Order: sequence, then C-alpha cells, then structure tokens
Amino acid sequence: MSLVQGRIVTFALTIGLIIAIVVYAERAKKGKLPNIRTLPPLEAINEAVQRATETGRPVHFTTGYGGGGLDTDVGVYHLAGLAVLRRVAELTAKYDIPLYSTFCHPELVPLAEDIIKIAYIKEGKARNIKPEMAQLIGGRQFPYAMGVMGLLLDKRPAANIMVGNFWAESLLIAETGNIIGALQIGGGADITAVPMLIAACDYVIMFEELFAAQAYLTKDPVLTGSLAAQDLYKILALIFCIIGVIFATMGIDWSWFLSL
Amino acid sequence: MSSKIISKKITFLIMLITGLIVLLDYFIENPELAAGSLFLMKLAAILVAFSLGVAAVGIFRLHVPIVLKRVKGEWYFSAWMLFVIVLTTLIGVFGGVDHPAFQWIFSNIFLPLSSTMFAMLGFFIISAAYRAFRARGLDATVLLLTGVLVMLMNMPLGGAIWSGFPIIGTWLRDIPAMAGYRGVTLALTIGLVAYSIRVIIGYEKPMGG
Repeated sequence: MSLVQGRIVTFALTIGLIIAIVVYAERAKKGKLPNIRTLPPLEAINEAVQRATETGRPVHFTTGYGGGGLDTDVGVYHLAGLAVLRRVAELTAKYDIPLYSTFCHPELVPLAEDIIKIAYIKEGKARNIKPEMAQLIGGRQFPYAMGVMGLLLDKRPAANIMVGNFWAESLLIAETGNIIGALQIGGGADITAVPMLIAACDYVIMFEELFAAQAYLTKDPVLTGSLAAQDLYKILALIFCIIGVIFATMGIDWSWFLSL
Repeated sequence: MSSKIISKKITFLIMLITGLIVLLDYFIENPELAAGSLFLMKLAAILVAFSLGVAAVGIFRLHVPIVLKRVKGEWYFSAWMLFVIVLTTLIGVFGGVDHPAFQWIFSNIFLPLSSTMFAMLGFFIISAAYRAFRARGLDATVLLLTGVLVMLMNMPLGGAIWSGFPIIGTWLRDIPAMAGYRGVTLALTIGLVAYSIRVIIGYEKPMGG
C-alpha cells in the first residue's frame, strides 16, 4: 500500500482540510462562531414564499439539468440545491402554499419526496403532501426545459426558485419565469450558466455560496463553523498563488513540489 | 434507542464508509481498495437506474388521476404523455434501442424538438441581455461596454470598423475575464471539496433526516 505519485501534496491538503473542518466545528460547538456575511438570495426565499402567500399562487423549485445527475461529478451541486428545497418545503408547508418541484434526473425525485415529506410532517401538514410536489420532467436537457416552461406558464407560480446545476436550460426557464412575473431566485456553479441566471433572475446564489446554503439557512453551529475551514483554505490558495507568481518572476523552478 | 436513531446511525455509517473507500482509492494504490471503489461506483449507477423506475411510478401516480378525473385543459396532455411513455418503453424493451421504430421516434421527434428548443435560446438571450445590459449604474455601464467590445471582437464587422476592436476584445477575454474565471474556479473547487467532506463525515445532511 503506497500513496499515488503526484497526489501526495493533494492528500496532505485533503487531510489538513478534514482536520480544519473538525477543529472549527468543535470551536463553533463551544460558541466561537465565525461571522457569515448576509446572502440576499437566501434571505429572499422567505420573501418569495410570502409573496406566494399574498397572491395565492404556488411556488416552483427545480435543480436543473446541468450535464448530469447524482452519479456524475456535478451531482454535488444538485445535493446542495436540495438543501434549499428543504427550506422552501418548510415554508410552503407552514403557509399552506402549493409547491411544485421538478427534476430532470430521476434519482433526485425520491430524495426530494423524502425532504418534502419530512418538512410537511414537521409542520403537522402530512395530509397536504401531493404527488406533483416532486415530479420527474424530461430526463434530457431540452424536454426537461420544455416541460418546466409549460408548467410555469400553466401554474403561474409567484416564485420560481432554481438552485442546483444548470446549463442552457437556465435561460429558457428563467425567461419564462420572467414572462409570468415570478420572483426568481437562481443558483448554480457552472461558469457559463451563472451569467445567464444573473441576467434573468432577481437574486442569484453564485458558485461556492451554494455550499454555504444549508449552514446559512439552518444556522447550525457545526456547519457554520466548518465554513471557516473553507475560508482558511481559500487564503492558503491565495498565498500559493502569490508564491507561484514570485517564483515564476524570479525564474525559480518548483515544479518538483507540485509533482509530488 | 429508537428505530429512528438507529436508522440515522446506519445511514451515517454507510455514507462514511462508502465515501472514505472512494476517497482513499484516489490517493492510495491498493488493489482491494480499487476493487471496492469500482464496485461502489457500479452500485451507484445501478441504484440511479432503479430510481428511474421509482420516478416513473411517480409520473403515473400524478397523471393517471388527471386522466381519470378528466381535468379540464390537462387530461389529454397527460393521456398523450402516458401513451408515449408506454409506447417508447415497449419498443425499447422488446425491440431494443436499435429497433427502426425506436430510432424513428428518436431521429424524427426527439432530435428536431430538442434542436427547436435550443434554437429558441437565441431569442431568450436577446431579451435577457437587453434587461441586463441597460446602463442603470456604474457596474451595469461597465458590463454594457465590455459586452459591446467583446461582441465587436466576435463579429467580422467589428474588425472592419476598427482593427483595434479585436485586440481590445481579446485582451478583455484573456486577461481580466480569465483572472476572474481562475479565481472563481479555485474558490469553487475548495468549496466543493469541503462540502463533500462535510457530507462524508455527516455534518451536512442534504438528503433530509
């Protein structure tokens, strides 16, 4: 048993990150919580559901196509999107608002059903759970987009929340949401789709903000604390970048370190 | 100990063990670990395939009552969708995906409709860009100017008007945009790894319970 050549530095950094996450989480448990800046898109979820309550219209949630489902390398973005669905379902259950959540990937449907079920049972509204609350649409990018656009035009939700991973379907869905006058909250990590969400949505959860969603929404001290470890590594990455620039300028070869 | 707590602990243990096996396989050369990781990844693919069946049941649970109740303005769409699902599934299961009828559905219905939707994207981009590029403030004005310069770089007319447009556009794309892109990629990757670790060690519970 030996470490794979070329991955020793990455292995050390990963172990370091695990330790940092646990240490910061333990510190947070003792009350030393880091400050998290306000994230307007996540604050706007309450506003979106309240608007739906006032207008008597439903709320729509989707996680997008984004190139693949849970068995691909973008699956983690869909998971992060489901953390937002949990909050949305809690609020729609509380205010008795119809919820439609649509998915392009079939494996997300049972997970969403479970999340919605837990949220409605927690609010004592188990009888309000309906099959349309988590439905599979399409299975492929454009049939999915077409189905969601049809649902938006038919049900005319007051809020369209799209958090997960999106490709070109982001604009098709968000522009339809704009046509029906829905308050739109977008969220994604794909660098080509986020600009489209910014152009079409009222609020956007951008890139790594997506991974802070659950910590922000639940205010869980362990999760909030572990975000500080993430920030520590960002600072470390920045230091590596500066060192790299200095070494490159001075002509110092440090490729041996990176190839470890 | 209640069954709910036991169930939570079992779920956590499964996540921890599977996550660690796949993670360690990336770093450590070990045939047993590699075999275990490959098995788990195959298992994940099989579970995903099974979930299609679960989701299909959900579609029938949703649309059959709509057809039976003859919901106004909806039932014929639901009936058509159920008919197409059953038809395509039967052809696919009994004839295989190479069956001429299956290929005909794919080439003459699915592909043209998908291409149509993709083509519509151009019109949606124009309406979204119109709203985004309005010079409402300093930020939006910078965005507008940058967008115009990059557009002029991409279209042949830009270079014909002034040979400097392609140079400015290329600089904008290769220097400031690339710097931003790399910064975002770096932060996103760190966030992704940290999130995955939080899921594996059970801090983050995106799947509910």
